[in-house]
Amino acid sequence: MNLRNWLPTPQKMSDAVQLRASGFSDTTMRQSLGMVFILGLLAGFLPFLVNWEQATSAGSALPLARLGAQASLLQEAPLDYVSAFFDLVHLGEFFHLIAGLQQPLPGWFAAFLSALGEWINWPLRWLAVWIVYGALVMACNKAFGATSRLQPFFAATGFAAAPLLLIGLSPIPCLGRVSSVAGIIWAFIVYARANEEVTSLPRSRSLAAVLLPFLFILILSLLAVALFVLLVFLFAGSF
Amino acid sequence: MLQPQNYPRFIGKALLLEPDPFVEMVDDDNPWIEGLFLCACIGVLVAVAQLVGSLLLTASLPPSEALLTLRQGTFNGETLLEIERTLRSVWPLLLAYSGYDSVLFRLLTLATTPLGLIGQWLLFGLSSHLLARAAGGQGSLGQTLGAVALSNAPRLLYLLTFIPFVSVASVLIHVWGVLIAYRGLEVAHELPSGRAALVSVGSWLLLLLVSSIAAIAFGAMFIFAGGSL
Repeated sequence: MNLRNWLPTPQKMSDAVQLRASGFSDTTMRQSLGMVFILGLLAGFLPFLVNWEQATSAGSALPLARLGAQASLLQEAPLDYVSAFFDLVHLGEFFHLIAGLQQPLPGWFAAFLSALGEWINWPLRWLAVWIVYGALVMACNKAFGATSRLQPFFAATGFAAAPLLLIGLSPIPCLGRVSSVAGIIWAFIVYARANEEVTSLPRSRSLAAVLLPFLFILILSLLAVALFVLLVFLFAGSF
Repeated sequence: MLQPQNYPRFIGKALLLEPDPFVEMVDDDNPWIEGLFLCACIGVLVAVAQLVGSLLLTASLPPSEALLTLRQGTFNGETLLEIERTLRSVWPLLLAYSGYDSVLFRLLTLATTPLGLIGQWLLFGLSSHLLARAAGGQGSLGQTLGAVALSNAPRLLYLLTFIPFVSVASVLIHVWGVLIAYRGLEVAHELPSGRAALVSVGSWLLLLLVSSIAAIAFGAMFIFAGGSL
């Protein structure tokens, strides 16, 4: 297995993040797939270390370690809307008790496995965004009259993963949030540029094709939240 | 003749939406048998990975019974007590779905996962074939089944679930599968890309409808059985 078949050259990546047209050509979907996965793993490495350390110091799996941390936060700064529904003293104790329960595996190993699982989720999430969002954008492209094929489209849009590396800095206080926001905005710009380059659509149409799926997902999410709230309301009203 | 040695290459190329594996599948002397065997192989591998994942997850977390016992007394008011009662009744389903403390159920999925996958493949293949023929396609049912079997390739991502806490978005599996099916139908039926896209999305929607009806029927049975099946 030749690594060159699975990754674009660093020069290509550099060109793409600088929005140069040459960055988006002569790349295969295989290389983009490899790039999305590898960059996802790289971005998740620092959070993996932080998660592993947090879970190991709690001697439990990561979700339980997080519950323990939440319990401490809840007791330090109780939230009014939570206390309306839950007995905060009980809830805090409950979280602490869960976090303190013993699991069959040694604590350090459970901590490692759970942090590893969280790490592997990084490239999987990136793949999901790349493929699912890409399919929606491609549908819009077709509706706007683009004639490009799926493979070159996915090959070009995979470069949006490069600026997303900045999200990997998220565990760093303050800087992490700024770099995450910057990474997402930069990735969106690279994605829009890649779409424009590969479809040869006018800029306005290409941008609309990239934005429409976002609006669609946003509306769908809002509808789902509204439906959930309505169901909870109806459920609560029935007692 | 079965050619399992070619499956990794087929799967790799299908994931990259290349036409070669579909051409080879369509030209095979028994494409539907290849498809059947491919689906069975993927189903067994995924089920084994999920079983290992379930074992490791159960060993990484405290016993589920301990969690249920601890939760008592946490909730306030009649409404939330009712929520807790509901949660308690669906607890076995949550465990089965997550794989946590449900190793016996996961053992059962060693058989049900491949069978379920084969059932889905047959339904998806049959509906794709009917829609493709209606759209002017030329392929036979066997060729459609062979080509569409490769749309299960993204399910191999579930192999990663042998590591506990790894979750693969089902939307990724479905959308990627539809994209692969689109390429397969384009090749098997020599359809224009627009029609092939409509056929693959239409077949998937039909599968979604059938799955939803099955889920609603199961939910109704669950409610009528008083929350314990």
